[in-house]
Parts: sequence; C-alpha cells; structure tokens
Amino acid sequence: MKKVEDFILREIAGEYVLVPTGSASKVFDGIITFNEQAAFLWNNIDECETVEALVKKLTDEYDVDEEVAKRDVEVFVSQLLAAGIINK
Amino acid sequence: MGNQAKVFDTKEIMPVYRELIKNGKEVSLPITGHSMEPFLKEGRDRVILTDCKGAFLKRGDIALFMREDGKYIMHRVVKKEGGNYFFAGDEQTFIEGPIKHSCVVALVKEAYRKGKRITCKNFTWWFFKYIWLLILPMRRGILKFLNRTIYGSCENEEG
Repeated sequence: MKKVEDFILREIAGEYVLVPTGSASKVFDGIITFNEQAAFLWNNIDECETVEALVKKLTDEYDVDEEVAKRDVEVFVSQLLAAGIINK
Repeated sequence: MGNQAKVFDTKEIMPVYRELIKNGKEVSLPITGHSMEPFLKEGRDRVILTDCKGAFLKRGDIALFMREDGKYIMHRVVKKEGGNYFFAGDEQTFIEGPIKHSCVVALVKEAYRKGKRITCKNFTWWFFKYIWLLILPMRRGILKFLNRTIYGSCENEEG
C-alpha cells in the first residue's frame, strides 16, 4: 500500500495529525487526527503490501489481541483507501 | 480509532503549518473571524496558503502575518511603505501597520468560497482585490445601504 505523498503526518498539541498539502489541500478540507497506533500504522504502511503484514507489524509493536488488531487495521485501511489518502 | 472531530486552535496549528509552508508545501486554512467578509466567511470558506518565496507583497494581496503578541491575522495589503505593510480586512475600514515583511507567514494563493474555487482569474477575486479595496473608506456606508435595501429593515442600525 502506498501513501499519497501530499498527506503529511505531524504532531500538534500532543496529537498526531495528518495534514493535506499541495493538491490534497484543495480537495481535502480539514486535518485528520490519529491516535498513536494509527500514526504507527501510517509510518509503516508503505512497506506493507497487505493488511496482514500491517497487522503483524502492529501486534509485534503493541500488546494487542490479533483479532482486534485485524479489525482495527481493516477499518483504518478501508477508510484511508475510500478517502484517497492511500493507494493499493 | 475514534471518529470524533477535534477542533485545533490556530495557535497550535500554525507552527506546523509554518514549517510546511517554508518547505514549499501548500496548506489549507479555514476562515476564522469576520474581518474578511463579505469575501470570505467563517464556517463556509477556506484558503490555500503558500510561501511568498521572499518576494514582496503587492497592494491587494491577501496574506497571513503574525502580530507582535503572537496572534495570526489574515488580511489584505492596503499599502506598502519603506518595506513595511499596512493591512485591512475586507470588512474593515481600520488600517493596521506597519507590519514588517519578516512577520508575513504566507500568501493566500486561492480561496474556496461557497465550495467554489476562486483564483486571481475569477471576477469575485478581482472585484475584492481592486474595487472593494479602492472604496475602503466607504465600505461601512455601502454595507449599511445594501443591508437596508436587500433586507428592507433598519433594525440593526446604529449598533
């Protein structure tokens, strides 16, 4: 999976936010807040080909149940895909 | 992973935005406050900010600058004097300045007004940049007159 380069992750007031820049700033109104795990997923998304690979990354890094992690990653990825923030 | 909308203070966002702008990125900023009405309205419109790349602003340009107290203001350049700027909002007749060039954070490149993209090629942009700026001292009277003729009421008079 590939991040759209125009979206940049930054920390604002102790929160992770995804800021649309360039052409994304024109179509996307607002910024997106991420929690720590979402930010972790974001930083690893480029090197993961599949949802499974991303789930593995998450469960290796955090103490989370694999079922829960899988569900969360699926939702996360599908939301980002639907919003055009990442590509397959 | 949480879906609730969170509103950030401009003061919190700006350091991050400044860094992105400095690195040549364009970012979108929603309008806050009423000073740029009737061109730009809070809750409805937003602007795209870009780096001015060291170039000086011109009369009619809209720019974001930082006041000495750290507050960020987005207004229009009314005049330039010895490398300093004087700004006013489109809704205002008061002119603020001098503002040093180094206090300018970004230039407004385009706007999204009522959901529609407005650039220097649009009539609306041109009208506010030139005509509305030209009649700055008469703005209050014109807005009052328009309010009266359009809404046919004087109830908001002399507030």
